[in-house]
Amino acid sequence: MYGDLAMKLAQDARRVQTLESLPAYQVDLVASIVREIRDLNRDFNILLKKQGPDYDPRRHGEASCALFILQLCVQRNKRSLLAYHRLRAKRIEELAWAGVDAASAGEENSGSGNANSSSGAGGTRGSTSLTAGWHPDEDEYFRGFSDVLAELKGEWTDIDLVGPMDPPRDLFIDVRVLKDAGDIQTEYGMISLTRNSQFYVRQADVERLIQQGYLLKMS
Amino acid sequence: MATDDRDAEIDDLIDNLDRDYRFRSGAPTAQRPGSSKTREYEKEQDFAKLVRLWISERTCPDILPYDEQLMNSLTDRLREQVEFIEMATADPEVASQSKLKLLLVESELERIKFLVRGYVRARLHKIDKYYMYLSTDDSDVRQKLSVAEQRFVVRRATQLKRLYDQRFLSNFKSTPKIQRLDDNSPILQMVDQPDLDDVIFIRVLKDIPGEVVINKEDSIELRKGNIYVLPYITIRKFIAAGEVEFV
Repeated sequence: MYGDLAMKLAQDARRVQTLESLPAYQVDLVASIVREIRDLNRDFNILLKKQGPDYDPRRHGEASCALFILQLCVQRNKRSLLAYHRLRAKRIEELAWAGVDAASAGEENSGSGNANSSSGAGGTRGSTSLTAGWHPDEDEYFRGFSDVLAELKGEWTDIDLVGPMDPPRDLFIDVRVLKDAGDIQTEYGMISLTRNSQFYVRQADVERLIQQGYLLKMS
Repeated sequence: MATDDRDAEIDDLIDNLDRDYRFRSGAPTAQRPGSSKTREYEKEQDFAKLVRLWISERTCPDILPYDEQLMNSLTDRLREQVEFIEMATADPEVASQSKLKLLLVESELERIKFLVRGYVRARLHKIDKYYMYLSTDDSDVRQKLSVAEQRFVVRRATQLKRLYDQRFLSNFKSTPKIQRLDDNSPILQMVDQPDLDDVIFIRVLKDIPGEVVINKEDSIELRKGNIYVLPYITIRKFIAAGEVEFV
């Protein structure tokens, strides 16, 4: 029945909301819905042509009803497609805001890219990468959006646009190193961040490292 | 009696001066050059303004006009402070002497940064949400945004449109109607708009003559100093005039 496929896609979108990373992109489903829209649209045009030049929706109730239903189905399918893609795009944007590196995210995905395109909706289960379920076009979107954000950040270099949204309490904080992060230069000298060590440092100096998960802020 | 009257008069004068300061942003420097006291005063005023702006932007359902002048003077001053800190820490002798002072300057700096960041991000959040609505040619809507924000709207719209095109929209080239993203028929509104009927908390700064109509049945009198919860649209013009503020 018309709209069934779109329903499936909407359900998938709903499932996405509760998942931590995006599940595999529904290539086949999207393609089928696109096909359905085109079929419906063709039917619509044929039916409209059949009515001839002096078609009056008020007098030809039966035909205008059929036309209306066809149009509704097209609209509904389109809306489902938009909702599905918008939802995924939103998740991708969140990653870009969180400062996930565009280059590394792309690389990670190129490894699983083949599997992704061949198995289509089957998915690439078992991959831990955040970007494993992405469609290549979504990779591109991520890079594009990261560029847009980078430009915005450039506009606001003084305030660190993606910095913490909690009000600052202390200039200096205790951090524990979760992953080796190499040496960093601060105005109080060099600190070498080796795993499991603990430091008392200026928050502004290590903010980025906390976001990237190298350091843990101790409370 | 006579002294009471004079006191009231003086209070009024001070009130007026204060209000002048609040509304004539930036102008005082040109008229009273150099005086460090007015500069201090301005700085305090700017800070108070920033806090107001931050609260307003976070509570207002619509996007408020961007305060470019304030933002520019604030970022300039931020830079000055950073330079000051750098200069002071570069010289070990000065640094050891004024460690506490530097710490205070730095803490203050972080606080201002937090407020500015909060303000900008609150705006961006709304701008991002209503980007379709903001990409109109309506100049009234557009001029609320800074140049950078306008560019952001355009660029993010292009990016998302491209994703849609690549994934499915380009398949419907023969029927432009299906490709449209901005259908605004009453049955199906595709463009998300700020909800102007959203209720907000406000404080009245100035008695407002007459009654404010809320809907067909209700209207209300706004008295100075009181706090009300009202739909944004009913008090929008008083916000713009500075007679009412967000809480």
